[in-house]
Amino acid sequence: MTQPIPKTADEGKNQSGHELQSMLDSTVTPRTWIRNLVASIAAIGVALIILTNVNGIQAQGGGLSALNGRFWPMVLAVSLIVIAVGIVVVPLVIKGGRNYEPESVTMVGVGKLVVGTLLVIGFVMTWGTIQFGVSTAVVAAALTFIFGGRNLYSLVVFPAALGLVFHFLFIVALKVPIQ
Amino acid sequence: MSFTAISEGVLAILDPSVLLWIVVGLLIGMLVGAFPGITSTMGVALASGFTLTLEPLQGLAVLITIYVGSTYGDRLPAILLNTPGTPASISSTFDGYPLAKQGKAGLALTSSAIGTAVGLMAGIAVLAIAGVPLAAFALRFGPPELFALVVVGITMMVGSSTGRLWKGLAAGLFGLLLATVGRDPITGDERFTFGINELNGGIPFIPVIIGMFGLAEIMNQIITYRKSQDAQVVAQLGEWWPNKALMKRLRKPTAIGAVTGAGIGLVPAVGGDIAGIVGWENARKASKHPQEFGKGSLEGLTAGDTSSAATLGGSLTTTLALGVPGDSVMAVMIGSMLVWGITPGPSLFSDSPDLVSSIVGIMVIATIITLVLSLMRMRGVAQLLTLPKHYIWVIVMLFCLGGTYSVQNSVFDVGMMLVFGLVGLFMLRFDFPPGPAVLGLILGPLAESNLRRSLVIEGWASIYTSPIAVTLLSIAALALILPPMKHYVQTRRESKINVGEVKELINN
Repeated sequence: MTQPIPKTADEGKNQSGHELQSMLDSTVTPRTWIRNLVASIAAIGVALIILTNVNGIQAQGGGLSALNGRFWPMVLAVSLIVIAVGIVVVPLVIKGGRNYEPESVTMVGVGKLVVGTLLVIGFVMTWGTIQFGVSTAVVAAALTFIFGGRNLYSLVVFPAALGLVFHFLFIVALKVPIQ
Repeated sequence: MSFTAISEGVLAILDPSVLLWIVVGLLIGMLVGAFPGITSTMGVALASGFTLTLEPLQGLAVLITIYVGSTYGDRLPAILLNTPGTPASISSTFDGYPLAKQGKAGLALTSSAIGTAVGLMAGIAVLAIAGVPLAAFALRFGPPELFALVVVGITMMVGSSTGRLWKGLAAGLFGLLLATVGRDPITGDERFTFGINELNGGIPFIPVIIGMFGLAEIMNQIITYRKSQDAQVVAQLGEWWPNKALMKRLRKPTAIGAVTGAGIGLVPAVGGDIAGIVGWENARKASKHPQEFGKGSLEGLTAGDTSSAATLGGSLTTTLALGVPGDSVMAVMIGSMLVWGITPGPSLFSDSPDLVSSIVGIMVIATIITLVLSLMRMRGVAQLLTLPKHYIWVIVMLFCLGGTYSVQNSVFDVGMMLVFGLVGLFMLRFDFPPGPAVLGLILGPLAESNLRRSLVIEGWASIYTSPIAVTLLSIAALALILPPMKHYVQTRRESKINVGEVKELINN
């Protein structure tokens, strides 16, 4: 809604004061509201998964009695739906709420994470087939390269040392059957 | 607690293997604290995986000493980089970094280390004095009181997530729902396993903890990293040791910090971050030089660091005596204790008093050794702050994998850890606090079984006719209502002042 152009200095002062007052009285920014909406939908989604699967639990005792294994999950799921609605509605109604803006993501960072995660999954699949210290060193070198390491120390010395440490810690000291 | 229990507990930790793991834990803890982006919760969560293969006392020694070590280590980046190593060192940045810019970084680091040691000892005194009476009181708790206690624990943690009460509640409920997966604690019926055999025992909480606290944070750092974020470390450390006059001047703020932190530590879910800030503020009000605070005051730095360190003992007290974690690190530790067959709570003091003595002894030894190590090694550790982030990401990611697998030798657990890493990343990006979720997962079975037992015994009357349960539930309600009310009143007051000031400027 646009404000009319003030015709006198006094009118201008009053308008600035009203605008400031309205700014200070504001609730959440549109971006925060969208985040809250997504958060709320996720919470409701979790609750609905519970409510749609609760009939799979054997019902003992009549109705919603305390002996019934459905009682507690249903109470929690319904409460979660109520809270999820509150996440969106309350900041719109009560002023001075928190406007949370996380640090923005970079497409490069997302790409690194996706590739890194795939590498890590591949690493786990090698357990039991390749010597653990060796596979750790190789995946450490690959991950370091993806995350930005480029010199000899990053791609050779550090991964080799990590492979040795992991071998000593998990295979020798803790005797974890990982290879 | 009998003398026999105390002596048995102390003798147990003098075993060379326990002492060795104490030193290992301290070194890990100092590194964890020193690197910004790795919190003490993350460090303890990562260690909880591989320490489960150790004896309970050895494993506890590692976890507790990581916590103690990180309390010293997190001051380093706060003072040299103006970046808190963990939330508990937020108050260290107020005066620590200005001191470093004045060429007094060495003095700041030394005073901080000494204040931290005093704070830790004050907290240990709280544990030694208050633990037994608190546990004795809690022994009177029946099912209604235990249910109310869990509600208090979760709501306290929700209430301390300032400004995100509703999301905190949602996170707590999510955690409680996760805890329903597996078997009904009363009837043993299968619930929400979706045909997956590994879920018959419930969702394993160590992988969830490692995923949500460890992996999620690293994932977030990777996707938001920009080269311009690399901070410059203050290189000139200056002199190290405070002279006699300065030591005398630091006595009062140290005492104020110790008393503040020890008291705040007893309140569940209120951690070192809040205690540090309150301790700093209390010292400023009592100081003869309040104008120096925030601009490079050794008094301010010492008071804040002493206060945040003193909360450790209080957190441990409520965790061991009541079974309600004092902060998120304790929530992780409870998870590990349960896997070891140690049930924190009032019966711990009567069933295993020697274990409690051992824990006190571990904290005393850890405090003294870390003080000596930190005074000797500060210069060396300071260089580590210049390490590129990709080394930390790789180390943490691989430790998450190895640590998770070593719990039950299960690839399924590793998969769960990856899944909950993504869940934790979503929670981080959308401002859900992870603490209440993890607490709900760990304490969920306790809450459900005690509530249902109470209802079976006497219906809802068993709860509202119990004075202890009613008191605890009232505290829980206040923990949820008071923070937003206080924030609302403060915001209205500030907005009135701001509008008034601007109008005055416009008029002038």
